[in-house]
Amino acid sequence: MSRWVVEQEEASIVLVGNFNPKIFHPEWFIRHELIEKWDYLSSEVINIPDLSRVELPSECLLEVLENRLIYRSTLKSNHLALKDLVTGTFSILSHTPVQQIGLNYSQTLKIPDKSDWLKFGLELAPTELWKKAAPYLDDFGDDEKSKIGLNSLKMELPRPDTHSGVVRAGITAKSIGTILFSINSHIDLQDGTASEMVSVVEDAWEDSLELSEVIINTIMKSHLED
Amino acid sequence: MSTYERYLKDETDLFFQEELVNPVSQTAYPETAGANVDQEGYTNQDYSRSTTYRPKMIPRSFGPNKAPHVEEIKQVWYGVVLGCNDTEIRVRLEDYTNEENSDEEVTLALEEIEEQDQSLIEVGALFFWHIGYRTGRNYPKERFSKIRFRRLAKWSDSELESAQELAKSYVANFEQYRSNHA
Repeated sequence: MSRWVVEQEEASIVLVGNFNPKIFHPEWFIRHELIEKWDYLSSEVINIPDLSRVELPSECLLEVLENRLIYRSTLKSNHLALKDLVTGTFSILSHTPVQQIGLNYSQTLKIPDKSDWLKFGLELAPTELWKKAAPYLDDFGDDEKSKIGLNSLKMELPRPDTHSGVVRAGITAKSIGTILFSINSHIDLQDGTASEMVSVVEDAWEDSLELSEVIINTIMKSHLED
Repeated sequence: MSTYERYLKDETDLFFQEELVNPVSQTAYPETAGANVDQEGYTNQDYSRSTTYRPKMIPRSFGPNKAPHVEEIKQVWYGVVLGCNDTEIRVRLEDYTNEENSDEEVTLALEEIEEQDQSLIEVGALFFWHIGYRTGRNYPKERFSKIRFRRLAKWSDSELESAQELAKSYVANFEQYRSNHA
Protein backbone atom coordinates (compact mmCIF):
# COMPACT_ATOMS: atom_id res chain seq x y z
CA MET A 1 0.00 0.00 0.00
CA SER A 2 1.31 3.45 -0.87
CA ARG A 3 2.58 5.59 2.01
CA TRP A 4 0.81 8.64 0.62
CA VAL A 5 -2.55 9.39 -0.96
CA VAL A 6 -3.49 12.13 -3.42
CA GLU A 7 -6.25 14.17 -1.75
CA GLN A 8 -6.68 16.84 -4.39
CA GLU A 9 -5.01 18.04 -7.55
CA GLU A 10 -5.47 21.03 -9.76
CA ALA A 11 -4.07 22.22 -13.07
CA SER A 12 -4.32 25.81 -14.18
CA ILE A 13 -3.20 28.06 -16.98
CA VAL A 14 -2.60 31.65 -15.87
CA LEU A 15 -2.12 34.48 -18.33
CA VAL A 16 -0.84 37.92 -17.39
CA GLY A 17 -1.80 40.68 -19.78
CA ASN A 18 -4.66 43.09 -20.42
CA PHE A 19 -8.14 41.61 -20.42
CA ASN A 20 -11.68 42.85 -20.53
CA PRO A 21 -13.42 40.67 -17.92
CA LYS A 22 -16.89 41.69 -19.09
CA ILE A 23 -16.44 39.73 -22.33
CA PHE A 24 -16.13 36.43 -20.49
CA HIS A 25 -19.81 35.65 -20.05
CA PRO A 26 -21.19 32.10 -20.47
CA GLU A 27 -23.19 33.21 -23.53
CA TRP A 28 -19.95 34.31 -25.24
CA PHE A 29 -18.47 30.83 -24.83
CA ILE A 30 -21.64 29.14 -26.06
CA ARG A 31 -21.96 31.46 -29.07
CA HIS A 32 -18.39 30.73 -30.14
CA GLU A 33 -18.86 26.99 -29.50
CA LEU A 34 -15.91 26.92 -27.13
CA ILE A 35 -18.06 25.16 -24.54
CA GLU A 36 -21.22 23.10 -24.92
CA LYS A 37 -24.53 24.67 -23.91
CA TRP A 38 -25.03 24.35 -20.17
CA ASP A 39 -27.40 25.65 -17.57
CA TYR A 40 -25.16 28.43 -16.33
CA LEU A 41 -27.98 30.04 -14.38
CA SER A 42 -27.56 27.30 -11.80
CA SER A 43 -23.77 27.78 -11.73
CA GLU A 44 -21.90 30.54 -9.98
CA VAL A 45 -21.37 33.39 -12.43
CA ILE A 46 -19.96 36.81 -11.58
CA ASN A 47 -19.67 39.15 -14.55
CA ILE A 48 -18.89 42.76 -13.76
CA PRO A 49 -16.58 45.23 -15.57
CA ASP A 50 -13.41 44.44 -13.60
CA LEU A 51 -14.05 40.83 -12.62
CA SER A 52 -15.49 37.74 -14.20
CA ARG A 53 -15.76 34.37 -12.51
CA VAL A 54 -17.59 31.56 -14.26
CA GLU A 55 -18.06 27.98 -13.11
CA LEU A 56 -17.79 26.05 -16.34
CA PRO A 57 -19.18 22.52 -16.86
CA SER A 58 -17.25 19.52 -15.61
CA GLU A 59 -15.48 21.16 -12.65
CA CYS A 60 -13.64 23.83 -14.67
CA LEU A 61 -13.42 27.40 -13.52
CA LEU A 62 -12.56 30.66 -15.24
CA GLU A 63 -11.44 33.79 -13.39
CA VAL A 64 -10.62 37.01 -15.20
CA LEU A 65 -9.32 40.27 -13.80
CA GLU A 66 -8.12 43.22 -15.84
CA ASN A 67 -4.51 41.99 -15.54
CA ARG A 68 -4.92 38.24 -15.18
CA LEU A 69 -6.87 35.31 -16.56
CA ILE A 70 -6.99 31.81 -15.06
CA TYR A 71 -8.48 28.60 -16.39
CA ARG A 72 -8.37 25.85 -13.78
CA SER A 73 -9.72 22.40 -13.13
CA THR A 74 -9.52 19.93 -10.27
CA LEU A 75 -10.34 16.89 -12.42
CA LYS A 76 -7.38 15.18 -14.03
CA SER A 77 -9.43 14.11 -17.05
CA ASN A 78 -9.91 17.83 -17.85
CA HIS A 79 -6.28 18.86 -17.64
CA LEU A 80 -5.32 18.19 -21.26
CA ALA A 81 -8.45 19.98 -22.47
CA LEU A 82 -7.60 23.22 -20.60
CA LYS A 83 -5.19 23.91 -23.46
CA ASP A 84 -8.07 23.83 -25.95
CA LEU A 85 -10.04 26.33 -23.87
CA VAL A 86 -7.13 28.78 -23.81
CA THR A 87 -6.18 28.42 -27.46
CA GLY A 88 -9.82 28.55 -28.58
CA THR A 89 -10.51 31.68 -26.53
CA PHE A 90 -7.46 33.57 -27.77
CA SER A 91 -7.79 32.52 -31.36
CA ILE A 92 -10.94 34.64 -31.21
CA LEU A 93 -9.47 37.39 -28.99
CA SER A 94 -6.28 37.39 -31.02
CA HIS A 95 -5.39 41.04 -30.38
CA THR A 96 -5.20 40.66 -26.61
CA PRO A 97 -1.80 41.62 -25.15
CA VAL A 98 -0.35 38.75 -23.08
CA GLN A 99 3.07 39.08 -21.46
CA GLN A 100 3.43 36.00 -19.25
CA ILE A 101 2.13 32.48 -18.97
CA GLY A 102 1.96 30.22 -15.92
CA LEU A 103 1.42 26.53 -16.54
CA ASN A 104 0.62 25.31 -13.05
CA TYR A 105 -0.03 22.02 -11.34
CA SER A 106 -0.62 21.34 -7.66
CA GLN A 107 -1.19 18.19 -5.67
CA THR A 108 -2.29 17.86 -2.05
CA LEU A 109 -0.97 14.66 -0.52
CA LYS A 110 -1.95 12.95 2.70
CA ILE A 111 0.86 11.09 4.49
CA PRO A 112 -1.08 9.04 7.05
CA ASP A 113 1.96 8.03 9.14
CA LYS A 114 3.03 11.10 11.13
CA SER A 115 6.62 9.86 11.42
CA ASP A 116 6.79 9.65 7.60
CA TRP A 117 5.48 13.20 7.38
CA LEU A 118 8.10 14.45 9.85
CA LYS A 119 10.89 12.51 8.10
CA PHE A 120 9.89 14.07 4.81
CA GLY A 121 10.28 17.61 6.16
CA LEU A 122 13.53 16.81 7.99
CA GLU A 123 15.16 15.42 4.85
CA LEU A 124 14.15 18.38 2.70
CA ALA A 125 15.16 20.95 5.34
CA PRO A 126 17.52 19.57 8.01
CA THR A 127 17.01 21.33 11.34
CA GLU A 128 20.57 21.22 12.76
CA LEU A 129 21.52 24.65 11.48
CA TRP A 130 18.29 26.14 12.85
CA LYS A 131 18.91 24.61 16.24
CA LYS A 132 22.35 26.21 16.26
CA ALA A 133 20.96 29.50 15.01
CA ALA A 134 18.49 29.75 17.89
CA PRO A 135 20.60 28.99 21.03
CA TYR A 136 17.60 29.39 23.35
CA LEU A 137 16.41 26.03 22.03
CA ASP A 138 19.10 24.34 24.17
CA ASP A 139 16.93 25.05 27.20
CA PHE A 140 13.90 23.40 25.61
CA GLY A 141 12.77 19.83 26.06
CA ASP A 142 12.44 17.29 23.25
CA ASP A 143 8.73 18.04 22.85
CA GLU A 144 9.38 21.69 22.13
CA LYS A 145 12.37 20.92 19.90
CA SER A 146 10.25 18.57 17.81
CA LYS A 147 8.19 21.59 16.73
CA ILE A 148 11.05 22.85 14.56
CA GLY A 149 10.19 21.91 11.03
CA LEU A 150 9.60 22.78 7.43
CA ASN A 151 6.68 25.10 6.77
CA SER A 152 7.27 25.88 3.13
CA LEU A 153 10.04 25.58 0.60
CA LYS A 154 10.42 27.04 -2.89
CA MET A 155 12.98 25.91 -5.43
CA GLU A 156 13.68 27.58 -8.74
CA LEU A 157 14.82 25.46 -11.67
CA PRO A 158 15.85 26.40 -15.20
CA ARG A 159 13.27 25.62 -17.86
CA PRO A 160 13.67 22.30 -19.70
CA ASP A 161 12.88 23.94 -23.06
CA THR A 162 13.95 27.01 -25.01
CA HIS A 163 11.18 29.28 -23.68
CA SER A 164 12.22 32.20 -21.51
CA GLY A 165 11.26 31.70 -17.86
CA VAL A 166 11.70 29.40 -14.88
CA VAL A 167 10.14 26.38 -13.22
CA ARG A 168 9.29 26.90 -9.55
CA ALA A 169 8.56 23.96 -7.33
CA GLY A 170 7.04 24.56 -3.92
CA ILE A 171 6.23 22.35 -0.95
CA THR A 172 4.03 23.56 1.89
CA ALA A 173 2.92 21.84 5.07
CA LYS A 174 -0.84 22.42 4.91
CA SER A 175 -1.70 20.68 8.14
CA ILE A 176 -0.30 17.80 10.16
CA GLY A 177 0.11 14.87 7.79
CA THR A 178 -0.75 16.86 4.67
CA ILE A 179 1.56 18.54 2.18
CA LEU A 180 0.94 20.61 -0.89
CA PHE A 181 3.18 20.48 -3.93
CA SER A 182 2.83 23.37 -6.35
CA ILE A 183 4.72 23.58 -9.62
CA ASN A 184 4.71 26.84 -11.56
CA SER A 185 6.12 26.64 -15.06
CA HIS A 186 6.54 30.33 -15.80
CA ILE A 187 7.13 31.69 -19.30
CA ASP A 188 7.92 35.28 -20.32
CA LEU A 189 6.70 35.97 -23.84
CA GLN A 190 8.93 37.82 -26.28
CA ASP A 191 6.34 39.62 -28.45
CA GLY A 192 3.56 39.80 -25.87
CA THR A 193 0.87 38.79 -28.33
CA ALA A 194 -2.01 36.35 -27.98
CA SER A 195 -0.87 34.42 -31.05
CA GLU A 196 2.58 33.90 -29.54
CA MET A 197 0.92 32.76 -26.29
CA VAL A 198 -1.30 30.28 -28.18
CA SER A 199 1.66 28.65 -29.90
CA VAL A 200 3.65 28.48 -26.63
CA VAL A 201 0.73 26.89 -24.74
CA GLU A 202 0.24 24.42 -27.62
CA ASP A 203 3.90 23.52 -27.37
CA ALA A 204 4.48 23.47 -23.62
CA TRP A 205 1.27 22.46 -21.79
CA GLU A 206 1.54 18.68 -21.93
CA ASP A 207 5.27 18.66 -21.22
CA SER A 208 4.66 20.95 -18.27
CA LEU A 209 2.03 18.63 -16.77
CA GLU A 210 4.30 15.66 -17.27
CA LEU A 211 7.30 17.41 -15.70
CA SER A 212 5.23 18.43 -12.66
CA GLU A 213 4.20 14.85 -12.02
CA VAL A 214 7.76 13.60 -12.49
CA ILE A 215 9.08 16.14 -9.95
CA ILE A 216 6.43 15.26 -7.35
CA ASN A 217 6.67 11.49 -7.82
CA THR A 218 10.45 11.51 -7.75
CA ILE A 219 10.59 13.51 -4.52
CA MET A 220 7.92 11.38 -2.85
CA LYS A 221 9.46 8.09 -3.90
CA SER A 222 12.99 9.09 -2.95
CA HIS A 223 11.86 10.07 0.55
CA LEU A 224 9.22 7.47 1.34
CA GLU A 225 10.07 4.40 -0.67
CA ASP A 226 13.68 3.89 0.44
CA MET B 1 17.19 40.08 -9.31
CA SER B 2 16.40 37.94 -6.24
CA THR B 3 13.81 35.21 -6.26
CA TYR B 4 11.43 37.28 -4.19
CA GLU B 5 11.86 40.32 -6.38
CA ARG B 6 11.01 38.09 -9.31
CA TYR B 7 7.93 36.87 -7.48
CA LEU B 8 6.79 40.41 -6.93
CA LYS B 9 7.16 41.08 -10.63
CA ASP B 10 5.67 37.83 -11.95
CA GLU B 11 2.14 36.88 -11.31
CA THR B 12 1.73 33.48 -12.89
CA ASP B 13 2.57 31.41 -9.83
CA LEU B 14 -0.99 30.80 -8.85
CA PHE B 15 -0.33 29.16 -5.53
CA PHE B 16 2.08 31.86 -4.40
CA GLN B 17 -0.35 34.58 -5.37
CA GLU B 18 -3.18 32.90 -3.50
CA GLU B 19 -0.92 32.46 -0.54
CA LEU B 20 -0.55 36.24 -0.46
CA VAL B 21 -4.29 36.65 -0.25
CA ASN B 22 -4.99 34.18 2.49
CA PRO B 23 -1.78 32.94 4.03
CA VAL B 24 -3.22 31.70 7.29
CA SER B 25 -5.47 29.04 5.79
CA GLN B 26 -2.60 27.71 3.70
CA THR B 27 -0.04 27.22 6.44
CA ALA B 28 0.26 24.57 9.07
CA TYR B 29 1.08 27.01 11.85
CA PRO B 30 -0.91 30.24 12.13
CA GLU B 31 1.17 33.38 11.86
CA THR B 32 1.21 35.57 14.95
CA ALA B 33 0.87 39.32 14.92
CA GLY B 34 4.06 41.37 15.09
CA ALA B 35 5.70 44.65 14.25
CA ASN B 36 5.71 44.18 10.54
CA VAL B 37 2.26 42.76 10.18
CA ASP B 38 0.05 43.61 7.30
CA GLN B 39 -3.71 43.41 7.66
CA GLU B 40 -3.84 39.68 7.00
CA GLY B 41 -1.26 38.62 9.53
CA TYR B 42 2.08 38.47 7.74
CA THR B 43 5.16 39.01 9.83
CA ASN B 44 7.56 38.41 7.00
CA GLN B 45 8.95 41.56 5.39
CA ASP B 46 9.18 40.05 1.93
CA TYR B 47 5.58 38.96 2.04
CA SER B 48 4.29 42.21 3.48
CA ARG B 49 5.87 44.10 0.60
CA SER B 50 3.72 42.05 -1.71
CA THR B 51 0.50 43.55 -0.46
CA THR B 52 0.57 45.87 -3.44
CA TYR B 53 -0.83 42.99 -5.46
CA ARG B 54 -3.67 42.25 -3.11
CA PRO B 55 -6.32 44.46 -4.70
CA LYS B 56 -5.73 42.66 -7.97
CA MET B 57 -6.50 39.25 -6.54
CA ILE B 58 -9.66 37.22 -6.34
CA PRO B 59 -10.03 36.24 -2.68
CA ARG B 60 -9.43 32.57 -1.95
CA SER B 61 -12.95 32.34 -0.53
CA PHE B 62 -14.12 32.72 -4.11
CA GLY B 63 -11.64 30.08 -5.25
CA PRO B 64 -12.55 26.70 -6.66
CA ASN B 65 -14.58 24.29 -4.61
CA LYS B 66 -12.92 21.20 -3.32
CA ALA B 67 -13.07 18.51 -5.97
CA PRO B 68 -15.89 16.02 -5.39
CA HIS B 69 -13.47 13.26 -6.19
CA VAL B 70 -9.90 12.56 -7.26
CA GLU B 71 -9.22 10.81 -10.53
CA GLU B 72 -6.52 8.22 -10.97
CA ILE B 73 -5.95 7.96 -14.70
CA LYS B 74 -4.86 4.57 -16.00
CA GLN B 75 -5.09 5.09 -19.74
CA VAL B 76 -5.39 8.07 -22.10
CA TRP B 77 -5.88 7.96 -25.83
CA TYR B 78 -5.97 10.69 -28.43
CA GLY B 79 -8.72 9.79 -30.87
CA VAL B 80 -9.71 10.85 -34.37
CA VAL B 81 -13.01 10.03 -36.06
CA LEU B 82 -12.62 8.05 -39.29
CA GLY B 83 -16.30 7.55 -40.07
CA CYS B 84 -19.72 7.45 -38.47
CA ASN B 85 -23.31 6.34 -38.98
CA ASP B 86 -26.50 6.60 -36.91
CA THR B 87 -25.43 4.08 -34.28
CA GLU B 88 -21.64 3.93 -34.17
CA ILE B 89 -18.42 5.72 -34.97
CA ARG B 90 -15.16 4.33 -36.33
CA VAL B 91 -12.11 5.89 -34.67
CA ARG B 92 -8.33 5.64 -34.64
CA LEU B 93 -6.70 5.76 -31.20
CA GLU B 94 -3.18 6.97 -30.42
CA ASP B 95 -1.91 5.73 -27.05
CA TYR B 96 -0.92 8.78 -24.99
CA THR B 97 -0.07 6.71 -21.90
CA ASN B 98 2.43 4.54 -23.75
CA GLU B 99 3.53 6.19 -26.97
CA GLU B 100 5.42 3.07 -28.06
CA ASN B 101 2.14 1.25 -28.62
CA SER B 102 0.90 1.34 -32.19
CA ASP B 103 -2.32 3.08 -33.16
CA GLU B 104 -5.54 1.08 -33.04
CA GLU B 105 -8.78 1.36 -34.97
CA VAL B 106 -11.96 0.57 -33.05
CA THR B 107 -15.72 1.03 -33.38
CA LEU B 108 -17.60 2.80 -30.60
CA ALA B 109 -21.34 2.86 -29.99
CA LEU B 110 -22.72 6.36 -30.42
CA GLU B 111 -24.31 6.13 -26.98
CA GLU B 112 -20.77 6.11 -25.50
CA ILE B 113 -20.52 9.77 -26.51
CA GLU B 114 -22.12 12.43 -24.32
CA GLU B 115 -25.17 14.02 -25.90
CA GLN B 116 -23.68 17.55 -25.97
CA ASP B 117 -20.64 16.25 -27.88
CA GLN B 118 -22.58 14.30 -30.51
CA SER B 119 -22.99 17.37 -32.71
CA LEU B 120 -19.17 17.53 -32.98
CA ILE B 121 -18.87 14.07 -34.52
CA GLU B 122 -17.58 14.25 -38.08
CA VAL B 123 -14.69 12.76 -40.00
CA GLY B 124 -11.47 14.23 -38.61
CA ALA B 125 -12.96 15.31 -35.24
CA LEU B 126 -10.50 14.86 -32.36
CA PHE B 127 -11.18 13.66 -28.83
CA PHE B 128 -9.54 12.57 -25.56
CA TRP B 129 -10.50 9.24 -24.01
CA HIS B 130 -9.62 8.78 -20.33
CA ILE B 131 -10.05 5.55 -18.38
CA GLY B 132 -9.34 5.31 -14.67
CA TYR B 133 -10.73 5.31 -11.15
CA ARG B 134 -12.53 7.96 -9.16
CA THR B 135 -12.35 8.12 -5.41
CA GLY B 136 -13.81 10.67 -3.03
CA ARG B 137 -14.99 11.20 0.50
CA ASN B 138 -18.60 10.54 -0.43
CA TYR B 139 -17.91 8.16 -3.30
CA PRO B 140 -16.89 4.53 -3.36
CA LYS B 141 -13.96 3.80 -5.68
CA GLU B 142 -15.42 3.43 -9.12
CA ARG B 143 -14.09 2.89 -12.60
CA PHE B 144 -14.86 5.54 -15.21
CA SER B 145 -14.47 6.05 -18.93
CA LYS B 146 -14.75 9.59 -20.31
CA ILE B 147 -14.72 10.57 -23.97
CA ARG B 148 -14.46 14.28 -24.52
CA PHE B 149 -14.50 15.82 -27.96
CA ARG B 150 -12.09 18.67 -28.48
CA ARG B 151 -13.49 22.11 -29.29
CA LEU B 152 -10.59 23.49 -31.25
CA ALA B 153 -10.15 26.97 -32.59
CA LYS B 154 -11.68 27.41 -36.02
CA TRP B 155 -9.40 28.33 -38.92
CA SER B 156 -9.65 32.02 -39.69
CA ASP B 157 -10.09 33.32 -43.26
CA SER B 158 -6.55 34.69 -43.26
CA GLU B 159 -5.15 31.34 -42.07
CA LEU B 160 -7.02 29.50 -44.82
CA GLU B 161 -5.82 32.06 -47.34
CA SER B 162 -2.18 31.71 -46.29
CA ALA B 163 -2.46 27.88 -46.38
CA GLN B 164 -3.76 28.14 -49.95
CA GLU B 165 -0.90 30.47 -50.86
CA LEU B 166 1.59 28.00 -49.39
CA ALA B 167 0.00 25.12 -51.33
CA LYS B 168 0.20 27.16 -54.56
CA SER B 169 3.89 27.85 -53.95
CA TYR B 170 4.52 24.10 -53.42
CA VAL B 171 2.73 23.33 -56.71
CA ALA B 172 4.79 25.98 -58.50
CA ASN B 173 8.02 24.50 -57.07
CA PHE B 174 7.08 20.99 -58.19
CA GLU B 175 6.14 22.27 -61.65
CA GLN B 176 9.48 24.07 -61.89
CA TYR B 177 11.37 20.96 -60.80
CA ARG B 178 9.51 18.80 -63.33
CA SER B 179 10.13 21.17 -66.22
CA ASN B 180 13.84 21.43 -65.27
CA HIS B 181 14.22 17.64 -65.26
CA ALA B 182 12.01 16.79 -68.23
